[in-house]
Amino acid sequence: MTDEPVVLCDIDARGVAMVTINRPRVNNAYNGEVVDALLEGALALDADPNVRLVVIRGNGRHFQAGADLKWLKAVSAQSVEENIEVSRRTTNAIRNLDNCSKPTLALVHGGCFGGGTGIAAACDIVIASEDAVFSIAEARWGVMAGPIFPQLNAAMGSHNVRRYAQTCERFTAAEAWEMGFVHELCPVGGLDDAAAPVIAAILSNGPNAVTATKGLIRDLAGLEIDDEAGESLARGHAAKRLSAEASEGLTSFAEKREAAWYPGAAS
Amino acid sequence: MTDEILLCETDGRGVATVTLNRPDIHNALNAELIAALTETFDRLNADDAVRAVILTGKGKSFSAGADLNYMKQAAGHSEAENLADARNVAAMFHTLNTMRHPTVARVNGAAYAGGTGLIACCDIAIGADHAKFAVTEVRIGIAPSTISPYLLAVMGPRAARRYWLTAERFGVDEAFRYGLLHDYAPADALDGKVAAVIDDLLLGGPGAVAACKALAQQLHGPVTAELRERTAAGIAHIRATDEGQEGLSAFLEKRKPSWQEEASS
Repeated sequence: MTDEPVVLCDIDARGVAMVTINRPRVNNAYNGEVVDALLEGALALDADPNVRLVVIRGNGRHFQAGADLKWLKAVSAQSVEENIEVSRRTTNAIRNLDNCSKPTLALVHGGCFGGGTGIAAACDIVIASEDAVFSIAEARWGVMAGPIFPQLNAAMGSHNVRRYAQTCERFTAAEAWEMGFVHELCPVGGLDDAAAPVIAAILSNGPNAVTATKGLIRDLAGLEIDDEAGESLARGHAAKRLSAEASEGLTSFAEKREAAWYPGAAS
Repeated sequence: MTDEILLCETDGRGVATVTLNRPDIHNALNAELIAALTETFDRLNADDAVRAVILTGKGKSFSAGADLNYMKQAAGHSEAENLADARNVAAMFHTLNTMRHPTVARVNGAAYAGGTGLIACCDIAIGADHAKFAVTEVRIGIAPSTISPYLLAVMGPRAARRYWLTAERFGVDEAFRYGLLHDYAPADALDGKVAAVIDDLLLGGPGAVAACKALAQQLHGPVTAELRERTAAGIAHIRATDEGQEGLSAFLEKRKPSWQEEASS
């Protein structure tokens, strides 16, 4: 049976919501169903008075491998309007997570690529195990990571984004820690142990004070993405996906070959 | 009288050292000390003979934030009284932050809550390696408010989103990585580090150094009067909420606040 939910959510008696991205066979790659589950899930947890904090992680070997490129290729064959709607939902899934009034904690292991980096960047706290590896991989396939750039800029610093979003190079957990993107590193398999004291610390604090504090940081740091900016990100994202370049990039992925724009390694 | 709780000495080079002097209570802040700090920063700012200012604490700690009696007073205050008090606090941080002379925080030990705000308002911060830090406000049901513009500018939103929400303690390595400290050293080497940086400050043209400081603050986005008023109103308000009152009462009564009992069940 494959009808297990693509995103699992358990809320314990303390009010800790554990959200698990659950497509382990495809490295938790996101498709429309995952986007919708995250979009609705973030709103529902935010509104649930029993929830004190949200933890997000991936089931299986990886945190999240970014977009399901097969799905993305199928989307790119649809109408302009449908493409804009997909991008709008993707943008809003990240915005809702970023805007969640409760504290959010990402536990990252294995691969964290593309949209996965956006999920981590949208969370307040990131703990990664030493095997974690990151990349903002969109440009490699001729598409653009637009909807997650505001969160990446805030979490990594724009100068790091300028390198890694243009090169699509992988960077390690230690490098992510050095740039401040990851707050804390732990041994492989040690995410729960590392998270426990952080969760306990949050539960020690006044829930309304925590929400007020988070709101103040977002306000002072100008982290809010308003509807107009969100719409513009979504439209840019959709337009890039519909370009000839994206078509070549996604086809090159499907055919396991280099894209036409690659001139070959320097001789 | 103020020199009992706050010491200020200026040497022949024009280096003023301002020392929080309540070592028995970890240099905690109260209304009197806040007033003395504002007055001293104003006086040093107006003094052309001053070239640099060092801010430090006497004893084991740098500053543990608000003191117990001060919090007891706050608990009995109306929202209007809280607002007047919060404005004084906001004005003190602003006066330190905008002092035209370069300022160096000599972080001799622990700094919590308002203590981290004092560090963030200084241009340069050097710590002793045993120092611990925490932005502890949420533990008593309030939000860091008057210190928040300065602390956010220094730590950045990434670190703020963790450490303001969790109130976890962190050491000099994390403080250094997130920019709250520029440098740290074993306690017996702290004065050497501070002396070296003061020496560098004295090599720069005084007017040029002041112009650099003003430029850095302008370019980054100044903490305007409107923003200061908003943060003062914010703290006055959240102190008066049920949660803020419960947090303060629990702290004063040395018991767990209601939300912690819920959490451990």
